[in-house]
This record gives sequence, C-alpha cells and structure tokens, in this order.
Amino acid sequence: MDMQKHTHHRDWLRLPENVIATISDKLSLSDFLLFSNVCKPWRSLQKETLLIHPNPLRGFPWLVMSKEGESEAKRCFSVLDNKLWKIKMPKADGGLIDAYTNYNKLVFSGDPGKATCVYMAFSYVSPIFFPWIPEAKDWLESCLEEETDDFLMDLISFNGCFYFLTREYNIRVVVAAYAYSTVQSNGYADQIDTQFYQVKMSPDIPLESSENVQIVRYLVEFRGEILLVIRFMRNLFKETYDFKVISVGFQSNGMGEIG
Amino acid sequence: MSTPSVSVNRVLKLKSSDGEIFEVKQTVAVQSGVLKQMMEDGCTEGEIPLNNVDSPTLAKIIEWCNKHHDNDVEGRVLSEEREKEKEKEKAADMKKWESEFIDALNRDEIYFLLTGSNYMDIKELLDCAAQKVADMVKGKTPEAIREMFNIQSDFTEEEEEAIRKENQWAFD
Repeated sequence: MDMQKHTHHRDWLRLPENVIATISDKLSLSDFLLFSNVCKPWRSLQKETLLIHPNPLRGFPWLVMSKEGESEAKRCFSVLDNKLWKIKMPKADGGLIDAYTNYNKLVFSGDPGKATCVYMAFSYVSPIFFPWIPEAKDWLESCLEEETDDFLMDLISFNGCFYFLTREYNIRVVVAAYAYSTVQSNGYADQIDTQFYQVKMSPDIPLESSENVQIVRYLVEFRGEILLVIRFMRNLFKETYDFKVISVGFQSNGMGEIG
Repeated sequence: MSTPSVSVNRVLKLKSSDGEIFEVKQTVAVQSGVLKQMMEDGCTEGEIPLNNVDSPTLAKIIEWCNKHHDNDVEGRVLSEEREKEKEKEKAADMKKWESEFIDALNRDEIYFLLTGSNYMDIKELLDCAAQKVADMVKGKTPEAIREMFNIQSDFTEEEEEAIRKENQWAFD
C-alpha cells in the first residue's frame, strides 16, 4: 500500500544537529562556509562550530595587521565574526633579531584569544623563528640547526602544527603543543627542533631569483591540504608569467610522506 | 553491579518502525551505543522497538554492523609481524567495502542512514555516511547544495544578499 520504500519523510533541512555537525566537521573552511549558508538550521551551527569549538583541521581565519609602529598591541582581524581584536605581545627584538629588526610574518596555532594559543613569528630569509605564548614574558628566539645554511621563506599554521618553507624547498614542521611546552618551560631548552621534510622538486626550478627569472614562493592550505606555490616573474618582479603548485603531502587526515 | 550479559549466541530482536523484526547477535549489536546501554541495563527482553528506523534502513545498518563485527573476530593466532601485515590488509579491505557500501546508496538512503545511525548511536557508520555527504557538497555553492538535496531556502532576500557578500571570497 505504501508507494514509497521508506515510510519516513526525508527532509534534509531537519537533520538532527548532531548529524549536521558531523558532516560539517569533515569540510574545509571554505566548503563549510558555503554549506552553512544553505538554510537557517545549518547556519545556526556556524558560529558555534567556528568560534566556540573550532575544528583545528580547518585552519584559523585570523588576519594580523602588520607592523604598527612601536606599539606593543597588534590588531587581529577575525574574518568570521568581523571583529578586530587587540592583542598585546612583546616586541620581538634583542640579541640576534637586531640584525633583522622585526619579524615578517606571524601566525597562530589557534584562537588568539585563548591561553593555549601559540604565536609563531619568523624573519624572512633568515634561520630564525620565535614562538610566544600569552603567559610568557618574551618571544623564545629559536634557530634552525647551525649546520644548515638554509633560510626560512614562509610560514603557515595548520592542524596544530607550524609549517615553514625554506629556500631549498624543504618543509620544517614544529608541533604547536611542543612549542608551547618549550616556551612555557621558560626557554631553558633554547633550541626548538623542527621535523625535516624534503619536497621532491624538479631540478629546473631555481632556488634563487636571477636576472631573467624571479621567484616568489609560499605555502597555502587548500581544502585540508598544504600546497607549495611558486610564482615565476620577470622584469624585476613586475610581471608574473607562470605558477607552479605542488602538493607537499600534509593532509588533514594525518601527516603524509612528501612525494 | 552486574556485568553486561553479552553472549555470542544470544540475539536481540529489533523491530523497525514499519513493524519488521530483525534478529541481531548481541556481539554485533554492541556497536550501537543505544543497544549496548540497553544490554547493560538488562532491558533487551522481547522486541526492541526502533521507531525512527524503517526496515530498509535497519537492514543496511545491520549489514554494516555484521561486516564490521566479522572483521573484528577473525582468528588472531598469527605472528606479530604477520599480524600487522594482516591488519593493514584488512583495514584496506574494509575501507574498500565501506566505500562500495556507501556508494551504492542513493540520496534518500543516505539520509535515512544518517538519521538511523545517529538514532542508534553507531559512530563509525554515522562518520562514514557523513563523509559521503561531505564529499558530495565539496566545492558546491549553497544553491547547488539546495538543489541536490531538494531544500527550499528559508532566508529572506536581504539575508541572501548579505550572505553572498560575506562569502564572495569563497566562490573564487
């Protein structure tokens, strides 16, 4: 008598909250934002999942305003709730860093409002990086091993780890929890060890910019995967003529081999 | 305190919302958080009504649980090394089985599997079905997702416009 095989009514709009949360947990940030705009019940989860229980797999949509004079307070912009936050952090200077004056990029391991967040800064084209946590007096100045003459070129935070890109196309990984405990122990261990991964690169990609070809390289997180982007330019950085995008094999479902 | 009386030979009688009875071994049924709790509380005599799960869905859920149970109890007398190898192989086989299982379902069936596994508290199955939905919506706009699941937007036009502006960057 029943025409339909299923006797219940299906209504995706009325899926239990727990089910929607389980689905949304498996989406990257951009997919999640699109997904949560399908209907009101799905959207109501947006704030909660993103701000109260952020999924570390998705990365954290915070922008840090760049240098603001001598001010100790940095402004951070939350993309999701459209708010500016002021965060007081010590100036990264002293010792080795004098030579480079200030850091070039700062990323967070998580919500910068939380006490467990690790802040990681680094100096462009140097082997120096500095983690900091809100309870620490100062940045912990750290350096790649002495034997290496490799330099840091970029830094992103993803899934509880910091990923540095180096000049020789290596990836250096620092687990945020490890950086946290090292900074917390007052920096007696003044060396933060990095895990080393080599990206397999074709030999025709130069390490350095030259007169004919200038290169700019950076890491991005895209849909739960870390990509190395190389931008080829000419006319002294005036014209971009090619991009190369390489998956470096770190995925949200665990750390993969680089290949 | 009584320990849960789970035995290999005992079966539970599950009654779907449309009145069909399914027999499931207790050792299989423990994958459901709800049934496990009932067994621990000793209230599994007679038929257990599952008012939110219809018979086609319950059949699928039981198929899943049986498969995962069988995979768990195969003999374990191999050497450690062989064991590891075997485990890996089994995990790969299971992954394959799971994706075939889920890919064979249509959207309605996935919907009922989501609600059914959520109702019965079978986390692995819920995860698997949710992953399937996540894969389906990846890279799609809200409009495309609505169309796929036959959802009527419940936003006003102004709200729609605000959302579009807010998320422009995500459409690149």
